[in-house]
Amino acid sequence: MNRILCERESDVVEALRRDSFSDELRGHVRSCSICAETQAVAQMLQTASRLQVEHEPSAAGLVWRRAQARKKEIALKHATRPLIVMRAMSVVYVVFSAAWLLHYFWRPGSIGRISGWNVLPIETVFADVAIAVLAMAIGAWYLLRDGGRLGEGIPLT
Amino acid sequence: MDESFPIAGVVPLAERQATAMEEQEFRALYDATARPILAYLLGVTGRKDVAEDVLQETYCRFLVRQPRSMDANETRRYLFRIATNLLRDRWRKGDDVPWQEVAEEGLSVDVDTQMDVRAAMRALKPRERELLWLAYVEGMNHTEIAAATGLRALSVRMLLFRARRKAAGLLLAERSAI
Repeated sequence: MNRILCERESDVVEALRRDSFSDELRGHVRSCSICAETQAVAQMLQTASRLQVEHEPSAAGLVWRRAQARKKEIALKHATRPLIVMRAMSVVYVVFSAAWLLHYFWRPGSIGRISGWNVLPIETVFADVAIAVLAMAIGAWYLLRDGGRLGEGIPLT
Repeated sequence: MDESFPIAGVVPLAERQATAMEEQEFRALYDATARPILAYLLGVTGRKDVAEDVLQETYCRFLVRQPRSMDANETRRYLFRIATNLLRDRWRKGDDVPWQEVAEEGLSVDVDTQMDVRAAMRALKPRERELLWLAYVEGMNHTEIAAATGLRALSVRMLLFRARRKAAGLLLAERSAI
């Protein structure tokens, strides 16, 4: 069975990296096909590495600032998560309330039942319902608008 | 790997609970690790624009995640892992432009060797370039490569063997062609 590893491979790589081959290691490389292959490939790659030595990484400060901006963005997302939940809940609430009101008032005799309670005049009941619906609609609209602005990256303050 | 990896400011950080990294600590880490990671990215992609973009993103993700306390070697492997994953994400999205020329002119390496190297690098697959680079330039062992790439150590052993054989064959073919 052909060998795929030699225990001296790492020595060959290290010797190439440090540019310090011992005579004993040279002798081993001459007699070991795996280490000879390793030497050829490692030399090629280390040459490739030297060809790129001129390239400078971006400034640390630039990367730091980019990361800080990203952190703020993530923190903002976390902070606005309850608002997003509230927005969704308010939309659901408005839809269900509207459906319930329509269903309730649509039935024949419903107005008469309400006025039959004789607790409040019919005009007051209507006015109260209208105000509640209006308040819910305004609240939902405000949250939707605010959420949209946040989504566009406009700061809260 | 027994090699010590002196990153000023990183070892003290590892010894305490990892809290928000200060800018000075980050600069020390960056100065010690950015160059080899950029070289790795350039070696694997052959594209300067991609390598620089991925390098910045690698450190951004590192800072945002603020991993548990790590020693210098773990930190280095973790950074290589992020960089490798980012490269794979790009390839999955179809950004798979072949290896290109990134070397500067006027280097001390002779032209024939440069041509050999470039031809061989171009012919290797990105995964093969990753494994060979980590093993033969960074000097990582199989376990460290596995940690840096997300592969299993046994798979690394076999894949590295195949990649090395292919690269050696390519080099031989290039030299006999000259």
